[in-house]
Amino acid sequence: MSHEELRELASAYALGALDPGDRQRFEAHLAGCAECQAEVRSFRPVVDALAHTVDSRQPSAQLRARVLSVGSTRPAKGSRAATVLPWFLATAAAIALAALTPYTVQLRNRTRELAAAVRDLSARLADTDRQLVAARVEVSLLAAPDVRRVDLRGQSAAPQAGARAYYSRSRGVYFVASDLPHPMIAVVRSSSPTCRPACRIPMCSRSRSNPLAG
Amino acid sequence: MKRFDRPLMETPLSDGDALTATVRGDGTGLATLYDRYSRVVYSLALRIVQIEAEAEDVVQEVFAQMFRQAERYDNRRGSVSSWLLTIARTRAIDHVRARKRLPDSRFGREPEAAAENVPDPRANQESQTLTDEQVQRVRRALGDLPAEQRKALELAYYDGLSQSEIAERLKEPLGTVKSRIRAAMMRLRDSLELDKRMREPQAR
Repeated sequence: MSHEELRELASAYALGALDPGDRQRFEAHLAGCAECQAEVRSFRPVVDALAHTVDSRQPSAQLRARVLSVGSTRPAKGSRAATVLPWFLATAAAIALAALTPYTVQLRNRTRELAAAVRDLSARLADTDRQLVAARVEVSLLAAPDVRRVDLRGQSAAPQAGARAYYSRSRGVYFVASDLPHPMIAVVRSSSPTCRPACRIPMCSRSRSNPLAG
Repeated sequence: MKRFDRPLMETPLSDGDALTATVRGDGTGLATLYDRYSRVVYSLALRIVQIEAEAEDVVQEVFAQMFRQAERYDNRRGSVSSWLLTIARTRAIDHVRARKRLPDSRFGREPEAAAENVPDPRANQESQTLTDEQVQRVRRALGDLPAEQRKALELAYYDGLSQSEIAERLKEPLGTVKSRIRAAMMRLRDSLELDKRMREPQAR
């Protein structure tokens, strides 16, 4: 390769993009060629600037503490044996990290799946919680000291229907209806703004048996 | 003039002093350099590895390596920021290659490879520090490159591919890739030279 041909490799060399063969040839020439050295140097600010052209992002605050913790362990200059150990450990950590990386990607995917499953379960749990709260309101109302039972008869629109209401001034209304013709809307109102009606209406039940009868 | 490499407020320590302090075991040296460069190192690493947690691992490795090798730093080979960014790029590319189960990048284990190998006897850190304006110019020049030149350059810079690997990836002849990369690098260099010429009459 002539000097001119080699000089054309300078930009790719500065970029670190030469193939091993070209790189060896170029380096062998570079050692004794001031012009090619100057050429390589002229591309260095380009490579530096490329690093600065990426979108700027801030690392997390925790990272600073992680990085600076290394600085507190540095021994005084000259204690060779002591400097070898952290170097060795850091290298071992880097090797372990490299080996773990594909596994890390796999773990991240698995984590995402599990997070979705957790969200699903949380939604179901919230649903169950709501049912539980409703059941507690029912029980509390039925056990109220001032509870009154009101039996209701079906009217002409639904003569076979039956209903029973439990009413407590302090805790609200609990209303159970049976054998309502489908579709029928039952409206339960509470006159007190502080007590919310609890209501359970088996809309399509054919059974005459009332769970609360007797 | 505002220096791109000095994003923080007045700091008494220069990069070189901060590195010397680090060698002495003075924690403020490392903290100063971290505060000054962690953002650009992280941004570059993130651009290459694409995963935040992994980019943070790279940042930690970069500063750990700087810390270990601070005594060996030679300012004739480039500024501290240039050194850190070279380590960052090498490390980040190695992370990606490890993830893809490829061998380490051609830079080898020594980050001082390639551009860092040519010491400049006249150099000092000030003359090597890029200004905001220069970076802007390079960014603009990069945007103005023909798409195929930019693509080849990005595969070399961010993916750490060699010219023949790029040719293989793009299914283009090696000669074509070589001339695209060279043309791109020269255009970007021109964008800096222009700036230098404009500044010189004021500076001297």
